[in-house]
Amino acid sequence: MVRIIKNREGWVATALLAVFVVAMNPPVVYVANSATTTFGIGTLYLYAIAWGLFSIGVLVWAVRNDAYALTEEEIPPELREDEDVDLAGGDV
Amino acid sequence: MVSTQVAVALTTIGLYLIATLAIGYRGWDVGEVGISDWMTAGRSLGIVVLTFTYASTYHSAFAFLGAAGFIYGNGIGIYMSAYVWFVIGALVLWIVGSRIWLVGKKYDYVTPSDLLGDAYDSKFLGKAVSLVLIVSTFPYIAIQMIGVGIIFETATKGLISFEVGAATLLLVSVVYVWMGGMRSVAWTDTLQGAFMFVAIWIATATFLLGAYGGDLAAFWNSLVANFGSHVTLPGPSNTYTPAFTVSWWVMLGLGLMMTPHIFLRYYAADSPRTLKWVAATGTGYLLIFYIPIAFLALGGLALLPELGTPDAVVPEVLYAFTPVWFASIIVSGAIAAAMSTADSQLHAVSTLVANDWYEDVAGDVDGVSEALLAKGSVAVLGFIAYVVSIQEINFIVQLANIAFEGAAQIFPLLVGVFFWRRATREGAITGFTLGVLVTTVLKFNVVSLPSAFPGFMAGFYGLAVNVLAFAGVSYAVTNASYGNLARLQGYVEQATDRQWEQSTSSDD
Repeated sequence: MVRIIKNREGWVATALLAVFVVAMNPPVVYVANSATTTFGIGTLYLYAIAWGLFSIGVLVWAVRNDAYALTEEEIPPELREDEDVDLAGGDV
Repeated sequence: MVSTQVAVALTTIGLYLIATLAIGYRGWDVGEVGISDWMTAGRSLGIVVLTFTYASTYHSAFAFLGAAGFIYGNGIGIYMSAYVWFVIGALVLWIVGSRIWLVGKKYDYVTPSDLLGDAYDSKFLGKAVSLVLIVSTFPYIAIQMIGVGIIFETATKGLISFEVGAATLLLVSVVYVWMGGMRSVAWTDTLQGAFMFVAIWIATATFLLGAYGGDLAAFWNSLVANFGSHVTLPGPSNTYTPAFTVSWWVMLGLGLMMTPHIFLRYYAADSPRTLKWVAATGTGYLLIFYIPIAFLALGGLALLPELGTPDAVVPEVLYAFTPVWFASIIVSGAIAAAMSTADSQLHAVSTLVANDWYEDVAGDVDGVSEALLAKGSVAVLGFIAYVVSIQEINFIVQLANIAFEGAAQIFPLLVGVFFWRRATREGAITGFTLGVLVTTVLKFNVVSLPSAFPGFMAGFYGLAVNVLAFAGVSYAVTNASYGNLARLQGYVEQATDRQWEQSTSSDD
């Protein structure tokens, strides 16, 4: 059985990243498509940057929660011994 | 009398080149003598170094010059696609990259064709993949050299010619790649990546202070009033159509991650934990790096609207609105951007030539002669790239047009290796061949699609044909080549399901 998403956080991260992709593409992106400013910054530019920062947050959260396979605790012992992988990992 | 601009530019570039050579030497000094270490840095790169080498290899002179030029001409719609392709890249790095690392470590793979040739039990497929990657990546080295040559000439006001500038930078790259291979490349990338990240942010802050007194609202109000089409979709030239936007992030999101200089970094990581973290840190670097570029590009549009060469907007804006000494230092960041990609490409193409082709041509070879061949390839390929760049051999330079879209055709094959039990050798060969063929034919306008077709990128059509042919043929033929695929898929499954725990407990 091919396993990519590891846990509940993985499903949440996938859903949030899907929202991000939808938000950055037509037709949803057109909600911000106006030659105006918001908080003194170009509306579409601000929209893109805000969603970009959102995606970084989701990725960091996904990493901290081991959302997707493979991660360090799934390395077979024969390779892990060579690598001296920290099984308690998850943080930098 | 040498002007301040030339003196500062020469001093900065000189110091920068000495620093890269010193770091490159250090990479050689601590490394082991052996082909595996030269090609993959002994599979030892950690989070910090891999973050910088991934990010600075991922984007090239395009990040510092091309992206700003593109925004200058087409508006800010690039952010919608670029931010999505960065995130696609992050997921590929984590989910596919960690699997490539695992089987690479287990079976000692070094190149994409090592993995694909073994998985599908097909030397032909391995060679075809290697050939496409070499042919489409090599011209990019020449393009980076053209970029740095122009920057060198501009920064020194012609005192150092394009030819001498390109030769100098290429020589430095060849020396440290030759010495330390992947380790030297990764370490110098760390310096280059840090330098250009700091440079772009400080440059933008200084420009906004100098030209707009730091008033962001004034900056954006002037743009909205006078250049409305540049801050909205589809841009002044109607570039960002829905079809183009979607196919752009699909092709670059997959294609960039399949280029050999990125692919080799999957093998070079010290563990999947590192790849997992770099998916977040490297992507964060890229996303944040691109934030200030719009200010320089659109500021240039507002203040210097008649630029003959849009790609020169960053140096032009800096020389016009910041102190000359400051602009000269920052422009060196563009050289770092180009070199950090060119060195990785030089290393990757040399690795492919030595690993994928030399053994078949020379027969039984040992590690020492293979290492010698790989290092020799760096010098030879560097020389050829230089000739191509100064002679502007258009045919070869044009090949770079298919670099990302051609590389993206590998992705379905990898999906087959790791995620699809029905994948077959026949399907993989048919899909890959047709995908590359369709991409090339459409890209070079050998055949034009009727206007009724949506305006997807050429490689997107190639990828669609690739996937359909791969799936169709795989379903149609007997899965005779499943032995190797089963071995690899079984090993990955053993890892993801932690099956070794069961065998350990049953042993107990």
